[in-house]
Amino acid sequence: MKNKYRSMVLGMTIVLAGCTSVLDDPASAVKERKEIGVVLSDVGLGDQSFSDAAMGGMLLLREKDDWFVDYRELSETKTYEGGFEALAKEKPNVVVGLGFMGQQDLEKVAKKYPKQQFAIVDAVSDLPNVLSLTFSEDEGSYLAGAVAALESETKTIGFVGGMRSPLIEKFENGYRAGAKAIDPEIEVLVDYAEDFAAPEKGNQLANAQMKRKADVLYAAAGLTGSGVLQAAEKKGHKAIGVDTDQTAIAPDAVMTSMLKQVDLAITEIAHQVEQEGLQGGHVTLGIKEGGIALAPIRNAEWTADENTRIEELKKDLLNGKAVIR
Amino acid sequence: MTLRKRFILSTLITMLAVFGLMGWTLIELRQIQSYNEDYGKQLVEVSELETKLLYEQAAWLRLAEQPSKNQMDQASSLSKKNAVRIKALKDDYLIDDFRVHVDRAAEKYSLLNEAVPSLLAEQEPISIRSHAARIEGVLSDLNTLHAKNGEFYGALQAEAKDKTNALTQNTLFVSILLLLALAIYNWLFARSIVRPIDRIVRIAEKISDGDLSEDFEAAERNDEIGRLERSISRMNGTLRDVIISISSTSNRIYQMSEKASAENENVVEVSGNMTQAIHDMAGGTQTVSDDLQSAVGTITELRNLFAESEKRTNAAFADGKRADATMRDSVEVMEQQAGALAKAAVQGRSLSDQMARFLEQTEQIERMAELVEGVAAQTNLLSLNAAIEAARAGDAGRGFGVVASEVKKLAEETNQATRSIFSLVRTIRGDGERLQQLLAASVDEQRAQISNFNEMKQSFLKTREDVSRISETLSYVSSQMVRSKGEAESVVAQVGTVSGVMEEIAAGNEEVAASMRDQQASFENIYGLMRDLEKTASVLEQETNHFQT
Repeated sequence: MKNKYRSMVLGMTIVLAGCTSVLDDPASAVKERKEIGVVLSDVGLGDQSFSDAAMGGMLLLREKDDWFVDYRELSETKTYEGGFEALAKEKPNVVVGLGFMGQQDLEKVAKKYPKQQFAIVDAVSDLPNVLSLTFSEDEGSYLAGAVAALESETKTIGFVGGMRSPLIEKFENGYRAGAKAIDPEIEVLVDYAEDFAAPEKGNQLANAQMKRKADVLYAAAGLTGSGVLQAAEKKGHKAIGVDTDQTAIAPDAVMTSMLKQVDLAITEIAHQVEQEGLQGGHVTLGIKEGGIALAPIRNAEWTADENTRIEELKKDLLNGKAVIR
Repeated sequence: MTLRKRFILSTLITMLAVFGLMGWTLIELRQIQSYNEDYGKQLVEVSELETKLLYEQAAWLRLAEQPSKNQMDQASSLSKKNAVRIKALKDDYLIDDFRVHVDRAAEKYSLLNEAVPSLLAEQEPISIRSHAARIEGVLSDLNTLHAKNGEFYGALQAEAKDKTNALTQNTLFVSILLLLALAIYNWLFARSIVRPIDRIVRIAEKISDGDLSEDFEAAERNDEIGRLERSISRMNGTLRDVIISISSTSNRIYQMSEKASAENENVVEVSGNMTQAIHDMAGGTQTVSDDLQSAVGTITELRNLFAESEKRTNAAFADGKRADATMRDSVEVMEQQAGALAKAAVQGRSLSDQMARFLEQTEQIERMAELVEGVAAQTNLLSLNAAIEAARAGDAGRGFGVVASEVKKLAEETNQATRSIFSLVRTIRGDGERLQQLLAASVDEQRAQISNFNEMKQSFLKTREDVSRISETLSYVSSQMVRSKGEAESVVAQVGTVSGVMEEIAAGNEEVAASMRDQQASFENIYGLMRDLEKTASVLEQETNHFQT
């Protein structure tokens, strides 16, 4: 009888000991979640442009789809390579690079981690584990050009690029084509600052273009562009922002912004990676995909006719009637 | 181990197991609770910090929109407070796996805070907005930390829930097992009591029915049941031995009294024969006397008629011979009778001795019955105790309660059996004592008889001598008659004497015959007593046969 009790107590102990604890390993308690790591470009957070937009996309992913998000800033890692390397070590579902400036470093790290999915926004890579995502900036710039042409009274509009490169030239070409679509006779002034982080330079170039009667200015030059917008505001002229809604930089001057929906790009990358696994390839986001848009028009007496005109041009872009050279 | 100890031990073990399980459960739950508290608190801290950072972010943004002293103070105060909060979180953070996020957030925030004085000095809205946007980076790290911490906390809670469920189930399962084990144990326990008690009851019933033939082995137990079984077994054995002894004794008495009765009948018959013979003899003697009387008359004439006298003398001689023979027969019969009487006396004494021993044995039976009565009283007391214990044990003891009432019944039955034995033994003893008295009287009677016989025998022998002497004298007279006429006178005188003696003998013989008749009556009385004894012995035997030994 005593043995019976003893074995019963033993059995009980085994049953209770069987309830193994997860407390010893917190990482295992965290359920498998998708994770995205982004290396922010240039000045990083607070650029009120690319990086902030990317952060917006990351926040969307986090809120809507329950992804873990992680990011590195250049201020932190000193080099892009360091940022990519650090994120790759965490083995997220995808490591994303923003902007063509980090492309070389990203490809270097992508080769080192061939099993790791990478993605690059605003540049095109041929590597099999790098998904490339670009915007049809020319389409957005086309609409921006049209808005500038409709607004301009002097029939002279300006464009300031950050650095002469195929990408920025796409902006320039779209801008010019859009303006010409409204008024073939219009004059488009073009300058390149050769620097994305020099508001002063932007200021100078803008003032120079305004002296040449340009009354609507379009900047595709990162932080340099904010100098352009503020210069326009100072002179009481209009400006068009780029990448994000830049109204805050020059509240009285910015009438719209050519929105590059980097947040959409980030969620697009995440969803594509989630669905198809390790991949290369190139995806372009344009008006059609909602990757490109114009911010609401402000600071202008905008008529319904003008609005209709813009909508027509948008349709032309969608059905291929509009041609950008 | 006694029943009480076994009962208490099984209850104790069950209670210990249940308390142990409950203790274990409480400790486990306590630990989970403390984990829950710690990590839950940390989660709340992270969450609070996020909220404060959002406030700070909002404060900076407001400052960018509308620079004012008030906004400046608020932003700077929040940034100072948050710096302290982040440092505190960093220092106290518990989960090492997630620490990297806290560290990064803290590092980033301290970098951000380095710019705060210049921001406040310059009041540049763009820079301030950028600063607010950079706070988003810290928030992102904190948010990741929050998510991971939250999921860990969730897992912890799920585990706590699982564990609680498992513990509940285990407790239930083990409790059921324990109850089952207890039930089986109690069943076995009750059976281990009821079974032997059933056996004891069966045996006791047999004993009370008088069947003592079953020789049952007491179980090798050290508890009360074992003691009861052993005492019942011992009682059974002793009772049987006593009954066997009584039975054999009464049987022997019966056989003896039967034999004695037969002997007595014989004695009566012999005695009758002897009376007849003595009577005959008396008649013979009278005839001789008469003849002698006539001889005396004749002898007077003998002087003349010697020849005839001689003839008559010879006839007288022949008569004397016949009397002698008759007397010899009588003595033989008397000797036979005396022998039979002596034998009867010896048997009577042995019977009396047997009787005395038998009475001693009845005393032994009474002592035995007293022992049994004592056992019954003890058993009754035990059953009372058992009933109290059973009542105290509640439902678990119900079986034992039934057992206790069975034991009580057994005790009462045993008591009844003992009482019947008592009355039986008393009857037997009364009968025996009466018998013994009768036997003693009979033996005395027989002794008196034997001395009578001896006296009579002596008298007969004397008579025979006389007769023999007469015969010789007659023979001598017959031979001398011829020789002397004068001698005839003396013959006549002698014959006269002889005739007197003969008459005396005849009278003695009548006396003897009367005494013999008395003796016969006494023998008949003895015979009757013997029949009584026989009957009593037979009753006794029947009574003892009632016990199957």
